[in-house]
Amino acid sequence: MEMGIVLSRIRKDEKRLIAEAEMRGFDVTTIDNTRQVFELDRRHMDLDVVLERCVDHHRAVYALTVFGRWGIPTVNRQSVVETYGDRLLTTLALRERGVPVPDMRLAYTPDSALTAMEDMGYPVVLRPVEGPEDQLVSRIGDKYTAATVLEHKRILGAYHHSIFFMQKHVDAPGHDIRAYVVGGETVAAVSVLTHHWIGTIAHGGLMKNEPVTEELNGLAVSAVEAIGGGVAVVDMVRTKDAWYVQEMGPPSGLSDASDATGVNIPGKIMDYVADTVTEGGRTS
Amino acid sequence: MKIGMLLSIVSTEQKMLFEAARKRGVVFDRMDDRRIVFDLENHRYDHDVILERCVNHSRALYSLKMLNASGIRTVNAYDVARVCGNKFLTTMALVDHGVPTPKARVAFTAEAALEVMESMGYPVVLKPPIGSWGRLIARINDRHAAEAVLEHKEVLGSYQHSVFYIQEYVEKPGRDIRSFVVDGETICAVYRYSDHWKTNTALGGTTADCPVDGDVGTLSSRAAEAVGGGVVAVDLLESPDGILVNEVNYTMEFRNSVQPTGVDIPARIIDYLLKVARS
Repeated sequence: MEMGIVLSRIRKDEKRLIAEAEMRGFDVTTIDNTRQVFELDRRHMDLDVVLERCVDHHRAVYALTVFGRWGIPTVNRQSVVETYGDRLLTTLALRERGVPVPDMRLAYTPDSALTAMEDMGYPVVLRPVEGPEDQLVSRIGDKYTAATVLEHKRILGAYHHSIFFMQKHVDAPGHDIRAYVVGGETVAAVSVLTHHWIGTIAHGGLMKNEPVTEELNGLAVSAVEAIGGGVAVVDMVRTKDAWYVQEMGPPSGLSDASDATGVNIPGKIMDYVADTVTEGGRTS
Repeated sequence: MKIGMLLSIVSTEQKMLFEAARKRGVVFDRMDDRRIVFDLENHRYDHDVILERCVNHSRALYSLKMLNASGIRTVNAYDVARVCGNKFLTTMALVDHGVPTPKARVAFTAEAALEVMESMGYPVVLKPPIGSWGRLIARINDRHAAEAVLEHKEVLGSYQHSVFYIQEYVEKPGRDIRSFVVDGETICAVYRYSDHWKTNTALGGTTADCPVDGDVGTLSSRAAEAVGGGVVAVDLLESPDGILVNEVNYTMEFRNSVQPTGVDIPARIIDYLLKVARS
């Protein structure tokens, strides 16, 4: 069985994934997306399955589109990656399936965005629709901050910053939870302890094992099913009386999460990839 | 019946559409994308159909997604805008449906893009996958030009410019063809003449009627079907080996095409819109 791993760099996580793939008898070919050229009028690669590990979201989506058209099963499917790489598409998919998400608004100009924030009431979380989880995520506490941040976006931002995606801030200090979902099951979960309001590892958060309760598993799995299934992380917050799904994304931080939880997450992912090849139909 | 138009500015096309609607006794509910706030919790849209006429592709795309998600029919549908707004996805759809189109490649870095251009041979056309009015579409004539343009994109461009769409250059007879397809039917087409290699009327140039019997009509309808139907404008190139579909546009300009073709394009769009509203 020949597996292609499309990637930009071989980091710690990719090394572990490759090792787990080889242990399962796969011949692994790495496809360096900085060198790869895709011809759009003919299939010029022959692989049984492709695992996507690009750093850049757009490269991932384009490459998966090509592999999908060639009939090569991919993990994840292109539509799943397109959805979790975009906060609006994610929110809409989750809402449609009744998964609890913070209230949101969408506007296209600083003026209409300000109107929307005033109407929602502060604090509001303003995010770019696309981009890394911890980049340019702003907690806006009042009208003055809103006007200042919007002016910076208007003057300095590229065109995709003219989409203003606003979420009602959910206050849940110390309760940011990340679930790793692989093929319809939460295989591990971590809580991220941080003093910063953005509970991410990138902001200096420390990972700690979080027991996978039935409630946590149910919410995380339904979130991944809502975007089309596969392998994903689900970032959730838990307030005193409710859970919300904040964000979803590609399975990152695998090594750290495996160390924190004692679960071999790369191994679980490779089991899933192997099933995907056998079942074939799952990715069509 | 309640029909809406999502728009950024009232251009000549919009005025022509308002007039065509008025003649049929309907008035558009105008939805200015600079003022709109989408709020799924508290706002329910109750339009029978909404015509999208935004200037900005991302505004159009997200609006159509939000509206379709709340069960509102739009012209065009989100999926059509998504494919037509991205030249890479358009090529994939055309190839998939066997519609002849120029050869294209995709690369993700300047180095890989340069290698592609060297192997395809010059001249070659470099396009941002997302963009309109011929903006930043570059005809690259040699390696030096390729290096200069790629460096500018790398240093100055936003991350959207890190996908390089490279298309073979098609020698054409000083003109290209733009056809208009409504609900599967190619209703008319124009030749666009220009001394510039980019023949978009947005860049100047003249137009003349182009008959739509034969290949122009057939290929245009097939191209429209490949991207998901609706109301689209198809750009065709007359290559030495036959007609090729270059691009498909989902929010088109048509002001310069009504007079030469004698076809009332805005009226045809409104008729289609009313048909969708009633369906």
